[in-house]
Amino acid sequence: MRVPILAFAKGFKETLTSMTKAPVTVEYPEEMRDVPENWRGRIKLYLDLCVGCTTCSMVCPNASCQMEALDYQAPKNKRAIFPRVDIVSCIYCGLCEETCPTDAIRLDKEFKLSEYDRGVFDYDSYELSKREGQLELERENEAKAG
Amino acid sequence: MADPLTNLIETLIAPPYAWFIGALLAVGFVLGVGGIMSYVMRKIMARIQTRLGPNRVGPFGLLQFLADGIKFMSKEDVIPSRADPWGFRIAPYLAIVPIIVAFVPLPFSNQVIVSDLSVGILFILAISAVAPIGEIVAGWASNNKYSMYGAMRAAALDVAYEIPLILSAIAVVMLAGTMSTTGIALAQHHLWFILLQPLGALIFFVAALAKAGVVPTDLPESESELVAGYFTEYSGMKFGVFFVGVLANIVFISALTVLLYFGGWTMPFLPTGGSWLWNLVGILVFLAKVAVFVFIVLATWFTLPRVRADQFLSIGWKVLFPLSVVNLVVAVAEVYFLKGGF
Amino acid sequence: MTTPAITPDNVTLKTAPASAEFPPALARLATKSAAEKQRLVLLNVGPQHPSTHGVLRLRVLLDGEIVRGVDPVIGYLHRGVEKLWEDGSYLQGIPLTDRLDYAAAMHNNYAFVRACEVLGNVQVPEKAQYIRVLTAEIQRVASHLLWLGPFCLDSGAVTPFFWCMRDREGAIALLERLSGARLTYNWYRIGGVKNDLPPGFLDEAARYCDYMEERLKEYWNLLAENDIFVVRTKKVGVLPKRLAINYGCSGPMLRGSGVAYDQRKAHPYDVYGRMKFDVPVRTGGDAYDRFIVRMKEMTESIRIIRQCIAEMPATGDYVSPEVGEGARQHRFKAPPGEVYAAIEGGRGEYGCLVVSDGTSKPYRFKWRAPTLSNLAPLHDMVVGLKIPDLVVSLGSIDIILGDLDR
Repeated sequence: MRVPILAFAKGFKETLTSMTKAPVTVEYPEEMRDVPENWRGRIKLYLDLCVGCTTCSMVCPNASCQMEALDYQAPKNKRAIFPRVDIVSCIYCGLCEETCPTDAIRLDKEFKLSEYDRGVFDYDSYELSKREGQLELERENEAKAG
Repeated sequence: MADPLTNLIETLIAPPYAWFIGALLAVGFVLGVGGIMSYVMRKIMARIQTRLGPNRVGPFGLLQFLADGIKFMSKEDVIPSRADPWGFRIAPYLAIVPIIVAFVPLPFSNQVIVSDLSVGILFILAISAVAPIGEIVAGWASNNKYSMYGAMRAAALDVAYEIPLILSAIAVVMLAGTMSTTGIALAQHHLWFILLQPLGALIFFVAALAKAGVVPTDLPESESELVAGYFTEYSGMKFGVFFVGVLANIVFISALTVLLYFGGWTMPFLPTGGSWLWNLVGILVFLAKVAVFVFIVLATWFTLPRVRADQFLSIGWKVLFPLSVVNLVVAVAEVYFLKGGF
Repeated sequence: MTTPAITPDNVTLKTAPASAEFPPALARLATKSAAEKQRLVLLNVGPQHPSTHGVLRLRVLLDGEIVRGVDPVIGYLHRGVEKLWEDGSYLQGIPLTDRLDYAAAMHNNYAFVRACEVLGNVQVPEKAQYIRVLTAEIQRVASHLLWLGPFCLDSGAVTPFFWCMRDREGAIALLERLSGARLTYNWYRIGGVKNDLPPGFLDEAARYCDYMEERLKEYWNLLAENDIFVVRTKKVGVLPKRLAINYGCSGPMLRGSGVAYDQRKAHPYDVYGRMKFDVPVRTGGDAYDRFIVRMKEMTESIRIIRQCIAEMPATGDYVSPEVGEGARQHRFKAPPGEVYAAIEGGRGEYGCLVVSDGTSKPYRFKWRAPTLSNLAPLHDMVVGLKIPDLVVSLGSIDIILGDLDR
């Protein structure tokens, strides 16, 4: 019977030296890792850029993106239809962002999307857009004008 | 004896009730230590795995074991419908009570002991041999094939490793000349038995690891093979009792190893007692030594893979058993030469 | 006819008959003698178990602790991916492939787009080829690390699991910078990849290579010579060469049994023909050999990554200009025909058969799951061994249920 002293000693050396290394835990939510620029997070719509081509809704792999008629006038959107994304069933694949010809639908970096109430997820596209994209565009337009 | 501490205790507590206080101390110590060990184990495991352990509940996560205890107590006590009603309920206590009782003759310092039995070590080994019965009853009573496999493995394991354990302890008893635990510790005042019995210590440690139920020898539990072995069906406080029992068992085998081979509370250059100051020093020395061994057991747990059941049993019978007999013969020779005759 | 509602009062528990019949697949193993049948135990290593690596159910026929037969029951994760593919275009199929072998999503993407490219006769630009090889090898390292953690957990060592997760973070972070996601990358496109490498990526990848080489030494010290680990995995789950070939195993299963077959060397695709790397082959066929093969494969992957970093063209297209990017991928049309293309991924040969009828929607996709063929010889590997050996053998096959069940 071989007494495996050397082999065990090597193993113990690994575990004991790893006790001296700094822990790699990122204490969420006090500390957070940065996500890269092209992180595929929540859908963000820029209504004014949308032309109503419905490519995003055709390319969505699980039909989370549907078109809806909105009472809103976008410059190039004659039919006044805009995408409406069910962000609960969205798989955040980014195909809609990739295929959009005018960059109207994008994936933001926001990933903290949990809510306690399921009804909160019932966004409509005007609401979704108003929250980020539209406000950004309005600010840009104001900066350009004034 | 002019020992103020003993006199104080004796005057405060009339002898008829002293045993009750002693029993409470043993229970409190074991359960408290079991709880604290869960925190220590999780922190050491985490640091070995380069992550933080519990650090949210209380400063540095120190109150985590209280939170775990509250969680266990607040869970529904689920008993499978076709489990043996009394076996299922009694098994956790069959597993932990022997460990609590085995702490009774364990000395923390000179005179700091719940009850200094003249057959201390025999009592400890005999009582701790009852603990596996709790595992077997748990496994059988659960009406679950995984539990039954765990129980059968526990039975085989304890039969195989009880003998080397006891033979090594007998060698120590021969060298010390007494079965009393205080006597064994005092006999090592000038020379720790580890230097006389290195082989015996190794055998004892491996056999004690087998009884403790931690990887590399956690056959009865075998988490990745048998889900949770004999306590698969247990949840809530019953599982908490088993869990605390496993951790208290780790402290128990460390304390036993320290007592038998590393001098208990005695250090070669310090007096072994005589005043409350030295008794206190003795307690601290004992706890420090136990802490070192607890760390060794935990490091072994987190480093080594699990030995396969049949391989471990064959090591027990084919390797440790003959070696422990050889060790006994060596101890006899040592007694002859060191004490000049029998 | 309406059935009465089941309430807690009127539900009755059926007691199993005293001599339960074994399922047909295992009945042939139960011997004829009644005494031995009485002794055999049918253990359900069920869909929920710490060691089945997913929702796999094994019905194990045990005689004491000795395994007499294993009958895997699969399908708990079947999602009908091949049917879903028929609904959409070629582009819409790529997110679906991510979710097949979710531990090595890039490899699934790779097999899929390779099949489409061969069918559509698409030339992949050189830079895109280098990028694809680079990311495929990073993914291989991550996939093998994800295998190593649970494999050590199966044999009882709890620490390497966390180290593997920590080390995998480096690879996942690299791929996250490229694609924007950590597990389901959806990144390869027909004729190339979705976007170009961000600036500084190659330096980060080189740093990760240095880091991983140190870590692999650590794993080696902890495990490869550890007597307990060796004794647990040697002669366990032996897969003879003949069986490995007959069952259609691939990847480390095949190479651990002595067959030196690797798609990257046998039918080189993209720039693998220019890469200098060895393919580790061991002849024992047991779990230890497969472990060594995978550890060495990680080292070879790091070698390939370094070569890609050194040889990466500074300029070039990241996707074939004739197919394009964005919506043009969605409108990709392949000429009518049928093609099977395979790549060497983490678990073995990932293959995709695509049948096209000339429109922009594929007619049929068939996915060759390496895990299904690798799992098939499980019974022959473990019969006669004990329960712990069953667990270690299953771990050494490296199954991912998404790939097994599709």
